[in-house]
Amino acid sequence: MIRFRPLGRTGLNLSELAIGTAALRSAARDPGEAGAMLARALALGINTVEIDSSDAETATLLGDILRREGARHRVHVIARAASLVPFDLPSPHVPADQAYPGWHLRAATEALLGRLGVERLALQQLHAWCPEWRGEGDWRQTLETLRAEGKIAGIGVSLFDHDVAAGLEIVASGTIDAVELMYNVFDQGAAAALFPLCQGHGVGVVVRSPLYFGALAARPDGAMPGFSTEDWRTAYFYDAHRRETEARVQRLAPAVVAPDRSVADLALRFALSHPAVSTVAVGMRTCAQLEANAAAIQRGPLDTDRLAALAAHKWLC
Amino acid sequence: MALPDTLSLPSPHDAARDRLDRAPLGALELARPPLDDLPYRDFVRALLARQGFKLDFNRLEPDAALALVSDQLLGPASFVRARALLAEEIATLAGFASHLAGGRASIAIRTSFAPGDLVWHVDRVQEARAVRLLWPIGRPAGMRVTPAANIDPDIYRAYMRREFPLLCQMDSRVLRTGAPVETLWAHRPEQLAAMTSGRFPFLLDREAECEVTPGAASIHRVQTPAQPGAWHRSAWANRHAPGMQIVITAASDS
Repeated sequence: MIRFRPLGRTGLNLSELAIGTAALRSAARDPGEAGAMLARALALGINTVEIDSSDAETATLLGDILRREGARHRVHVIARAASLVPFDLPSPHVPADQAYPGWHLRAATEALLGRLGVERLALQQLHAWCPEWRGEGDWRQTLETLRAEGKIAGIGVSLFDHDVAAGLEIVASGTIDAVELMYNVFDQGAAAALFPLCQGHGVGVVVRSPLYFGALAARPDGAMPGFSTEDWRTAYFYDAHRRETEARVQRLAPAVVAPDRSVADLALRFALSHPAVSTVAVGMRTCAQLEANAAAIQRGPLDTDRLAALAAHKWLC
Repeated sequence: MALPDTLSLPSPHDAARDRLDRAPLGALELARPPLDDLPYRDFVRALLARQGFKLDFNRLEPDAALALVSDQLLGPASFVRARALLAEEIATLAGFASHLAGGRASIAIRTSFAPGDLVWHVDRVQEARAVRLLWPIGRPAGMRVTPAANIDPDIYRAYMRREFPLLCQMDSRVLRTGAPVETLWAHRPEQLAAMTSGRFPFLLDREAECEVTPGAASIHRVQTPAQPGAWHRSAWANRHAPGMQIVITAASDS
């Protein structure tokens, strides 16, 4: 049974498991498989998908599946806008009116609505958020107008990997409805200050990368899944990074106890365990992955003792 | 190995600009007297004895900025003569950097240790031409410089995607609390080892680095859309004695 949690003050209830669509792009070579996975997710009661607004290929694929399944009115879409100025790292020296001018946010939102065939996005967010942008540009005014027009339900920011500190001021300002961030066994940084702040200000939390880009979905011996040469993770997990990650995953193995069947089960339940979390977005391509992840999430949060034991596995915070 | 390119001040601006443009590592060393020989050494030492701080001068002239920090940390009207001499020197160096870049210089001073500087990096701005002059007074180790070709760009990009926000957070925590890096990153022994040794996974030849003479100043190219920057890092030996670092960045679009 899939459970639901509120997305901050938006009035929306999201399934605890959300479909991260980044992996669908590779599944687009086999739209049948992606379609079957999404149809099964909807049947299980999953009502949330997370998507990069600029990924037209995935949005078109998702839109086709939603239409075929008659699910356009049943899903909540969490969108991340991409900066108009490409950057590898959070870039406060690029002002908000260059990275996210209002016209760009409006265009990205309306294009995504069109491709998906939905009337309203659950959330539109500025990705790789920099605190310096809070008082800059017309992004906020534009998103508030889009909300008033019924095109989005909430306004959010999406934090760069491990950049929890960037979210503190904007969450405390009370001007956003949700924040999306990386949170997993290796990066537990958000639990210290940001999650309590989100709870205090009624700000929803969308967790991404709960499996650390797939590393926590390792085989029983700790070996990471193989990535294709086109997959950006091949470069991300360069040799030294891969070796250290695998060693750390192996150290997690003794923490896997029933009912969990794997490190991935443990990691997904960990990501769900903080009450501030609204939903956990996991990239999935196949029905088998969906079934495994849904089964893990349905076992609910970890107990306090297991959470305390996992504190020893912090690494990327 | 010492930095091969050195420059003596005063130096004609056009010649200095040409030298910097042609410097293979993108950096030049500028000889400075040791701290013991500086007429404002007692003022510098008094500031170094206080908790680490960082101050951007913004639009303040050097004498006004030094007065601000001195009054606040050392009491009103202390070291008036010494700070005027230091301010004069900073203004001269800022003028030099400004001429090299063809634009206004911004100045900052810092006595705190910034662990993020231990990782090889290039400074970046959006303007077309930019230089940065660093004068670390009272530091035991000089800045390290390595050729751009010694950095594996793919591994560097991946490394910084993971580490950049964590380094920024550590800089803030060290500035705010003064806590030792070893304690803050006890759960990250491999990353800590790289910081202490300078041996990062993206470095192709771990021996291919030059050191600016301790106590000397240096000027290096800042990466812009129109020019490459100089790859540099600080040294672990500076963690307990970060000295007083004067940072002058000048940039222009001309």
